[in-house]
Amino acid sequence: MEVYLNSSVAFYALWAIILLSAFMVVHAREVFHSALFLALMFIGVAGVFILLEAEFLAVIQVLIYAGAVTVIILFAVMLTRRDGGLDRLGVDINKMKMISALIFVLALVGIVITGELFSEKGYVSGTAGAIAEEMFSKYIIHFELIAILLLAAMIAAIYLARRGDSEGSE
Amino acid sequence: MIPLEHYLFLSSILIAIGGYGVIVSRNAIRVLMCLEIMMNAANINLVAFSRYLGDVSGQVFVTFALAVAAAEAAVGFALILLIYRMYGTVEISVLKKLKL
Repeated sequence: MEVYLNSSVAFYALWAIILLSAFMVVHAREVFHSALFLALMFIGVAGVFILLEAEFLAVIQVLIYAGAVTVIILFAVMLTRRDGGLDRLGVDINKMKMISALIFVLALVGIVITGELFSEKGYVSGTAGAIAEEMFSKYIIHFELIAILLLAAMIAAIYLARRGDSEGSE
Repeated sequence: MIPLEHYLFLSSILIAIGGYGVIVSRNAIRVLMCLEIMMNAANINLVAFSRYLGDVSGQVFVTFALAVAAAEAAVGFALILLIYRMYGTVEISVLKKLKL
């Protein structure tokens, strides 16, 4: 019962975080802020995955969405603005460095503390093995197709992004 | 256990916000961000059903969807850079060459 209560409190908190940040992605005045709210939404979705006992997907979600995709978006935002970068947002970079370092340390401490709690209860299960078995037996064709798709997308992205330079030099 | 419907509510509201954002945004980058929101909503659905049906296939497809989303983001933002080089802006209202 207590576990149910905790997980449902967490779920509805994530509900609010995800929906509010998704709304802010649409309505933030600065595109840069939209991108940061998008990262918050990705992390919220990762939390939902953990509640659904899909720990592997939660890790992948944080790595690929909150990590890679957000970085690509931030690059796109910064490369397509003419009027300065962070200066225009009126942000004190040094203060932000301190705050983010503090958050990182707090997060590490949190991981250590909660990690002990979870391992005492024998919480860690993980679905990576089951996913791998399905992926490499039943869905092997899909897996190969995704590999080809990623290669094609990589070549296309490099080609598209580089063409401007070669046009300039020709 | 949280009822399945609540996950479905979450993902349906999320996909509605994403669709709304795709329609009202005038910045091409923000349109792509809203597409990512919609993909996440679909992923929540897949994982929720995978959990409640006890079938891991849904999670396999979310893994594939993640790869597709990464590919889409890379190509999409390369296109946005091209648009910026050609027009000097990323407002999608400048893209009207195909309009009659």
